Amino acid sequence: MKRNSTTSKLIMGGVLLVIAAAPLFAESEYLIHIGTLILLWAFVSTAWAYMARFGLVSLGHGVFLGIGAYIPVLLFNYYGISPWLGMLAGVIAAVIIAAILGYACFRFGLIGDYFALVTLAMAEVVSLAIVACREITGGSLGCTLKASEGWADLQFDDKRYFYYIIFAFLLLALYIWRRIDKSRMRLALTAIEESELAAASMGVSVIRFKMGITLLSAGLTAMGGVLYAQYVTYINPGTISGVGVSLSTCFKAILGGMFNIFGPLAGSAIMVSLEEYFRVSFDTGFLGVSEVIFGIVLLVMIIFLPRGIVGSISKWLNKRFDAARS
Amino acid sequence: MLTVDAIDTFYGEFQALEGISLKVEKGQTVIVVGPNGAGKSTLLKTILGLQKPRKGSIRFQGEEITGAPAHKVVERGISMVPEGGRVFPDLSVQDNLRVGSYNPVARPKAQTQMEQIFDLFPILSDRKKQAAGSLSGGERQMLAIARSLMSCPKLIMLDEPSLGLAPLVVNMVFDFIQKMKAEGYAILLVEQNANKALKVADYAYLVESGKLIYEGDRDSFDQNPYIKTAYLGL
Repeated sequence: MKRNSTTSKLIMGGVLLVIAAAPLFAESEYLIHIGTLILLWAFVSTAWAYMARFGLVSLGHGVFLGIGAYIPVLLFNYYGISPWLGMLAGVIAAVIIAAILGYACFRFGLIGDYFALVTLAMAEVVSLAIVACREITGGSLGCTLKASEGWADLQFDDKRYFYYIIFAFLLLALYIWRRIDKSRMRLALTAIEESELAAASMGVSVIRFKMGITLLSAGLTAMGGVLYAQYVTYINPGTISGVGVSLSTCFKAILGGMFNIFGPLAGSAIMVSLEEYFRVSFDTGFLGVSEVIFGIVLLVMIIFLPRGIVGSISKWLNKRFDAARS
Repeated sequence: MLTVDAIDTFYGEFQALEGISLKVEKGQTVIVVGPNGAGKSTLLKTILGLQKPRKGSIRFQGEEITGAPAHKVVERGISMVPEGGRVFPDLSVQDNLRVGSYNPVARPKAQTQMEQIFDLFPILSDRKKQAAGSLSGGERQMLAIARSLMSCPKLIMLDEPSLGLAPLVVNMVFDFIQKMKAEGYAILLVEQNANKALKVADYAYLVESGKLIYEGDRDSFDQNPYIKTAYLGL
């Protein structure tokens, strides 16, 4: 056990060090761009996995991404309000929506598939709402962030800034993950997942803990939306809200392994890289090839490797360690 | 100690409890017997606050707890062993017990309470690092009872603790209930196994389709001709 945890700490430190040093060796802006996207989606799918690893599978995190992306952009474009304040507003709005949605689901005991379906519907609702408010949001044509430069407006010409800013946010998300692991919250949420009735009869406040993790996840996801908008500077309801992005967030976490702290990061690295690879090698000749392949891979993963890639490797390593000791 | 006064509980339009009243005094073991679907589990859930009664009142140690949320009721000193035990299979035995002492009243005493429980249930002490899912049926029921003791309750409610257990294990469980009784806990036990339950009971209620049919002490239950044929198989 001891040896395992030291090993995993070393691996963890090594991975983070590589990520931190990577831009120094990257030959092109393009590679830094890919790296930034990986870190961004790692941040979002880590936030998603906060809930999912306790059985709260949301298929609607696009709700929070969309809110987080649109609110700061609109505030900046129309009123010149700094995206930092915009981020605050976006996170608060996302948390309020999550609170309403979460309370409604948890109060009436919607769990598992039913919870997932409600969140899926919500993703579509928010996406349609953005399209419907055409005058303000630009509808399905999307909306471009007014160009600017510097820390106050959170826009930079040099991609390295975003790389490190988003890396810092990812570190925050990983740190919170560790804190949850060490807190009473992990035990309570595991207990709730396994039997709400038993957890409640032990005096665990089921709704409070589920709300807690949901609001945390929603707030961080909204931050991801803000970062996306600031980095890409163009947002569109189809790419940053709605079902598509909601599902691809889950795919990344499931692929890497949502029960492992580095699972969503690994999943994002694989998916973003492959998406780019397919985009470059097939170009427009075979649109949607990546979705087809990911769909098949996901099916295979869920059936044969439910713990994801990182989860399965770490399980296998643990077994090896145990075997070596005895 | 616990006074339930004329409660009605509904699931949507379906009425599960109709004007049920009962009392548990300090240190007493009270049983509720009745067939499947009579509303016995609903009664316990209503007392614990997992179901809200539409009418009537529940008082514990002189205080109104009607409609209070379950975690508040547990804090006051009522705990429940749910039907089938419902241990958390992926958590270790130790972590299962930890979840038992979640409420702020019990939390500071968790360590000493756990040591006492390990004295009481040495099997659990041997398996404390093991996942609860790997325990046998009897051990799981032990763990479920031990877990409910972790919340430092004054009243323990058990929902069909003998359900699905081998006869020998059932005896073990009832020995345990005796032991808890000797320790001074008040017990409210819901059982289909009326024979076994009556042996530990100070007072008993019979519930059928949500209504109270009969109540009395052990002897009057034993002698009631209807109960004798319908529930005791004599």
